[in-house]
Amino acid sequence: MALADERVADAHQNIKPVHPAQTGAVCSTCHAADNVEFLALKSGDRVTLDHAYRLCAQCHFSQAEAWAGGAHGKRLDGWQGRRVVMGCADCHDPHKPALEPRIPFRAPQIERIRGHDQ
Amino acid sequence: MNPDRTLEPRGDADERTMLQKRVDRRRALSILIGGMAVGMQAVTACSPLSPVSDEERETRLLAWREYIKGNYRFMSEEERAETIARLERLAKLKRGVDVTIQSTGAQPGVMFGYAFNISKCQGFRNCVQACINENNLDRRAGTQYIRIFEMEDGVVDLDEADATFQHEVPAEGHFYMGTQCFQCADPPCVKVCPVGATWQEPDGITVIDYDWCIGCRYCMAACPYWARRFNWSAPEVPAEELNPNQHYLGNRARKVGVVEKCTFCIHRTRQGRLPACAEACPTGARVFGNLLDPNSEIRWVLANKRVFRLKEELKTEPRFWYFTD
Amino acid sequence: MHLKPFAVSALRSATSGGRRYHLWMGSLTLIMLVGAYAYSRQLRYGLGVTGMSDHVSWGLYISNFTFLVGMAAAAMMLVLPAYILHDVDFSRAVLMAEAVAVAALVMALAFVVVDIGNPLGGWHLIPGIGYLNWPRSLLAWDVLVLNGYLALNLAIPFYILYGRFRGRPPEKRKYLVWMYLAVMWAVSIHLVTAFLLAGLPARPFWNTALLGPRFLASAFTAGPAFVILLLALIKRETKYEIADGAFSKLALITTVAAQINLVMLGSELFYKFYSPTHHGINARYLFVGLGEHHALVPWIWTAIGLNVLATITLMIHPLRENPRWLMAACAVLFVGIWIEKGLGLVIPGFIPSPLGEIVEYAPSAVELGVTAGVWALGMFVLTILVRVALPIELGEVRSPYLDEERVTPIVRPRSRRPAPRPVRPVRTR
Repeated sequence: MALADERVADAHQNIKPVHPAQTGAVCSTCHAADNVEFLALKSGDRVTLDHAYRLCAQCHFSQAEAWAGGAHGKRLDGWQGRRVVMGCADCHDPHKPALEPRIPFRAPQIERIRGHDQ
Repeated sequence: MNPDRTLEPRGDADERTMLQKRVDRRRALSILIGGMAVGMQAVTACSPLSPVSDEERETRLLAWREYIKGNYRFMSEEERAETIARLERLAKLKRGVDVTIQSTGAQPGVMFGYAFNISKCQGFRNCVQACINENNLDRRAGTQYIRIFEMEDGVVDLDEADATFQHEVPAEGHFYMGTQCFQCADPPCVKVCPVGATWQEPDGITVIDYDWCIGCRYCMAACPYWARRFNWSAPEVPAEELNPNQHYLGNRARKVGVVEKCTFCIHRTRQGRLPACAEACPTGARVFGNLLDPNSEIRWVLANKRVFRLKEELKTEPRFWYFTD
Repeated sequence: MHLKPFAVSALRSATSGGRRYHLWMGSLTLIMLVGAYAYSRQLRYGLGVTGMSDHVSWGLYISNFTFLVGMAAAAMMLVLPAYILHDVDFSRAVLMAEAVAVAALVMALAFVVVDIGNPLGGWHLIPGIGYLNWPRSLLAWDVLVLNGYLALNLAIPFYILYGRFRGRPPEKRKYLVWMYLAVMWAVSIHLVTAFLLAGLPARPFWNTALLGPRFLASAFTAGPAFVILLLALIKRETKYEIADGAFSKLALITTVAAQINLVMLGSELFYKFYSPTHHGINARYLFVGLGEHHALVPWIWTAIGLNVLATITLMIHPLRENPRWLMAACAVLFVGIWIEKGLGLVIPGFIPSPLGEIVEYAPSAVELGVTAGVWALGMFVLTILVRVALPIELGEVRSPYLDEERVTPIVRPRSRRPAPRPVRPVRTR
């Protein structure tokens, strides 16, 4: 309903609400209505954008569990020492989370894998 | 008998050739010296005594010392330091590049493990590209340690898989699975090497001493996962793409006629960094860590996800698992 | 004392002959030079000049190696009856068979040398200064047993020939135990070569218990067949007597071995084709092809056809007794076994790869050149060995010190000592 408002639609024209459309969510489902810096949890809590994982985990609890354990997501530093990982929104655009298909790096040359001849 | 007379062949004087004529001592000496002079000139054109540059002489000496050295596995710390110094110097002399070759040993209490999420892999091959750059792989032959297979949903059969896909990925109805050296716990390649040029380090990485390998390729026949590559020609890496951060047992310059393979980026992982493939993957399909650390990501995957390994029945115990979301 | 004249007379035997002999040796030398040139290209550019790849990492060289180790082993088939069972028929043919064993071994070792990527690093194999991964690596075993077998097959005939040369007949008690050893060693060299392939679970085409027995069967088919052809040539061209009994016994050995070889082939075919598992995929590539990849299919069926044809011919008694039919069958069998064991065994083990990728193989010009050169080397060595051995065996060549030795066996004959110089009287004041 908010997006039907012309002024709101103009300001957010680059956001394609794919995920909200899939889930039947509206803007206020995730965003705090009064402050753009915060996200609203179902429990009534508010979190900053850095802690978006708490929001995503509400529905995507299995992915969140895997992310916490290490089977989901991307580790940024080395395997040793303090663990630094990407947050949910660092990989997934929250409004259009699926990764885009792309053309892969070149395929291997199977037939002529040996070196040059003469 | 006149003691000064030399032996003379029988026959007429006219039939004697130059060599058979009487040769007195003075002439003999001059012939000898002249012959020696000619011989020396011929020989010194390609001998260490000829006027070559200092660099050329140093290169030859270093190459000779490298040729006669033993198996890295049995070298003392001092010998290892010496060979590394020679190799770094040779890289500078031959290509003008400054490289750092580590000899970092395995960290205690570390055993590397790798997990690959076949739900997440989309076949982008970012890992392949990163591996080529990180490990100084031969650009001319197009060597790739990593293979990404496109498989049909419901069929985990490598005979039906295709690694040569070159279309937009992910393709509908397919999933993607990558292979590389699995650093098996009971490696068949190590068993068969006749000179012991390949062995497994305490942290689980199966390594090769490229200077000890004789290139018989028995290890390539023995590997069930087609993980090893051979240098059929001299490998070429453009100087501007060369990764100077190297390890003796890993991505240093290899030569023609020896075997090489993925070493889990030994020059990175022994410093606590992720291998290049794990770091490059945009989907987070690759998980790497220390199997002996109960809090590691790899341990969490093994404990909480349904994992499987390739060709489990061969009992090679690969340290590379596949799992799904 | 007799060593130098032995060497000199051997050199003379090897380098003297009629026009056909010189033409033969000259052609072999030419082929060896071609092979040497081809090998030089390989040394310069690397093994990429061959048809091998990361997928098919062993090709024509190792195929030939496998075949030739079998030939070397089979030559000992004659030794067992001759020396140990005192079979008179074989005793004259045995040294020729040993020559075949030596030549085959030289070729086999040469094929290994040309196949490895870093031949200058060959010293890494020498225990003591290098590191030989024995007993875990079957290749390490192979290095030891092949060189040991070569040493045995050089030492025993040398002892016998040298003994005859110097007029002192070889004493059986001195070499019999080495003979026993050599016969057992012959079986082991080919089993070790079979095990180095059969012990690889990565290669289901080879990973079968039948590979070792199959190797022995095909070796004892091709080896004696070649020896028959050689003995026929010697009988025709020289005065050397070879009993008909030797031929018929050898022919029988060849026939029985050929039959066993076919039975084993049938067994493998059943096992690989009855249920289409992953284990049979390499066999499917070889015998029927996989999709558009079928380069080896005509070769293997030709080989099987030749083998069956030759085996049936040999099984017919009157044909086996007929020299012309026997020679033809032996030649056909030799070629058939070479194709089956060479192309039809090593190469298909790699196609498809363990990850299911199919890359076919065809030898390059360099590979063919080097292969021809090594075969020429083997034939060269064989010719020289036969050429040296025959005159000694025929009694035509003996040491010049023969009679003198009989007179004074320990002390040097006085005639050889230089005449003592007359002492000049010293003038004193």
